[in-house]
Amino acid sequence: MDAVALANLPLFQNLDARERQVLATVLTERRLAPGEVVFDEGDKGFSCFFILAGKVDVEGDAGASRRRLATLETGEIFGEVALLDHGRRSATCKAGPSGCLLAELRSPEFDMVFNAGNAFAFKLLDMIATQVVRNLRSASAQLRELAVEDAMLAMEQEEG
Amino acid sequence: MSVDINFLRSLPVFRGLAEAEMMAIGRCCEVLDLPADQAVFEMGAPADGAYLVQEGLLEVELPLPNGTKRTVARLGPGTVVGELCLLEDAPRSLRVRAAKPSRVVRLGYEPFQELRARGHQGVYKVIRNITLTVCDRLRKTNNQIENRWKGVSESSTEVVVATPQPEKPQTAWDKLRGLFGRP
Repeated sequence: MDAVALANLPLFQNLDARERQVLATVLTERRLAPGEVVFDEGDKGFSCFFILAGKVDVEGDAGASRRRLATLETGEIFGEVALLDHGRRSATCKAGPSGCLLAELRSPEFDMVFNAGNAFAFKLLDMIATQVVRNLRSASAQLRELAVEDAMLAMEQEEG
Repeated sequence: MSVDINFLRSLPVFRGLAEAEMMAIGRCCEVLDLPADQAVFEMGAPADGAYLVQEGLLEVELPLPNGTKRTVARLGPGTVVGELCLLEDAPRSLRVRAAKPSRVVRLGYEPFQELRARGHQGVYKVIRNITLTVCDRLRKTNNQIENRWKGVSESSTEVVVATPQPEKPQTAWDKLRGLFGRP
């Protein structure tokens, strides 16, 4: 894939030309038509994606229908949890109304650059770690509130 | 008291580290012997590192608005708590205390971040291992929240910290569903 196109992404801006060249060899370019599905909720995943151009819609199951959860912009990354844990996709991602251009990074290639001590792999891991920790903190905070309500209610009932 | 490298090596959080990498991480660690009831950290306190339980038992407590608290997890030897701060700094979200005399190893925040800033591969292996456990916890936590709003009965409201061993199954979920489980 084209190393020059990668220079536009914030994540790749601090890499030197040689590091970007390495990156270009491990990424696979994917061009999607408007509305085309990148992956479906529940699919097993082994890669993450960088949006080089266009937008990506994130949709989740809502009973029989689907609802849009988010729209991702050029420069954003998605699918990074499955890159690490090879788990199932938690939402459906599809190209926006103008289509999109993606760079896919698969687990074996990530492992290769990680084990080689490539700066990109460490930067990407820093970014993924920050993202998943923030997501976990936010989810845990919700759960903690529920747990407090739960405990208070249980106590009221014990007293009453 | 010097850090037992063999103990460190036995923990999943240090899986895949080469000998020299493990030794470098060991130099970021210190051993702490805690009497029963001593706090490891308080809720809201600035994070000073991850705690690895070598001996004894820690309890994770959730303070309640009426001044009491609930134990949400018990952590025995081989478990790790407070490790999220190594990935991203933030105040502690729960209180942790020694439930009986305990030996813990603190992997210090500052020395760890110094190695991280230098691009130390062993540190990044640890970050990767912790991130994997965070991914797992995130999936579980999201499922619990999703099930809650779908009205699926849950057996527990445990805040997952490391390897929680609930004292008894909680039963307030069903009652709570009556209050919150509106369509």
